[in-house]
Amino acid sequence: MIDIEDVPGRSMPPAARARSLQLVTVIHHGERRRRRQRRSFGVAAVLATTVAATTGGVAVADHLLKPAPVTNKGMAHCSAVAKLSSGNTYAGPEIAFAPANGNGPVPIQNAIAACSLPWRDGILRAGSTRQHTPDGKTHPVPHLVGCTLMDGSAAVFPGNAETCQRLGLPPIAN
Amino acid sequence: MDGSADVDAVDGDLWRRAARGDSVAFGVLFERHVDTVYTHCFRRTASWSDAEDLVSVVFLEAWRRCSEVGLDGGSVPPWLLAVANNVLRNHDRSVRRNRRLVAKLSVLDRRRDEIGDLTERLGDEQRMRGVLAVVEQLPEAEQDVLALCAWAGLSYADAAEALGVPIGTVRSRLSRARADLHRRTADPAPSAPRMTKGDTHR
Repeated sequence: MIDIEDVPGRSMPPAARARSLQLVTVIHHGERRRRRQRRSFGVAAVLATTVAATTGGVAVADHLLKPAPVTNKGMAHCSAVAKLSSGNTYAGPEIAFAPANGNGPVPIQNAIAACSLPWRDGILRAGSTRQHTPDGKTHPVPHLVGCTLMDGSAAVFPGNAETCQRLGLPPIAN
Repeated sequence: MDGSADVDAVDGDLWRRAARGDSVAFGVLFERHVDTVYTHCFRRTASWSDAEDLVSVVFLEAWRRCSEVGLDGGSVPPWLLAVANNVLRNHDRSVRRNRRLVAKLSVLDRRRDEIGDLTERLGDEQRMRGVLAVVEQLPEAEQDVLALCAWAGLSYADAAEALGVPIGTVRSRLSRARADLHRRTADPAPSAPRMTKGDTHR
């Protein structure tokens, strides 16, 4: 006999869960951005017909994800490629600073500065997903941007002001 | 606000912040309630794979509409499950559309979960198909009440809020559903021996 009230239940597997949240975030913010642009274009059109001289001054606002603070400062994720490995978690190299007294990691106050070090030493190289062996030379550091992952840690990528948004992540709040 | 405060925040506060576009607040709500939605969608479809797609559709729809819905002291799960019930009415279309989106978005993670309990999951699906074969004979309104109260564990009040009906209606639908299911699933009573052609009483 079937027990109608005894039905299975489980947790959603982690990668599927992360992908789902990332998908929802990317789509939702894309929709919000398009709505804001449509509204801005509408305002511009009305102004153009009434006060022609002002149309050039109507800026199209671009909605960005609200910056989020880094709350997990024990390490930072430094990546040479602006791409997520696991939803809004990041499975690439991590950087942490050990103190001289050996009492746990030193908080990373500036993730971008911390991640510029492996770039400078040639451990991270543009477009390469693997970590290279330092060659003793000083390498150029590209423009880096910091985003906040769901676990509150920082992820630093080469890119520009739109990189975090494209990845569906909030930029790091100052 | 720091991250630990987000984790401790009540649903109503997170909901209001999500309505203003705060993705951190929405992320906390997602993590808090994703398993409830995932399990609910599985129980209505008997497919873990479809349930994964439906979770995205439900949460996206919830986020789109959360600025329209005030949660004055209420909790989020009843409302999420109400959205899920609506999404489930177009289940095939929702899953197809979500899979097209996933295929188009290049930034998405393609990592697959290592499912260690695959056999158990297949067993879940088989068992759930058996349950649904019976439950789907009920009127749709009774199926919804059964899924919300008996399976998801919502109170009568929360189920009434989710379905937009009075509490008394929830009670009566659940009672009818249970009685009907009991009749359908109970072992048939031993029937009296029937005479077949050629049998004779002596």
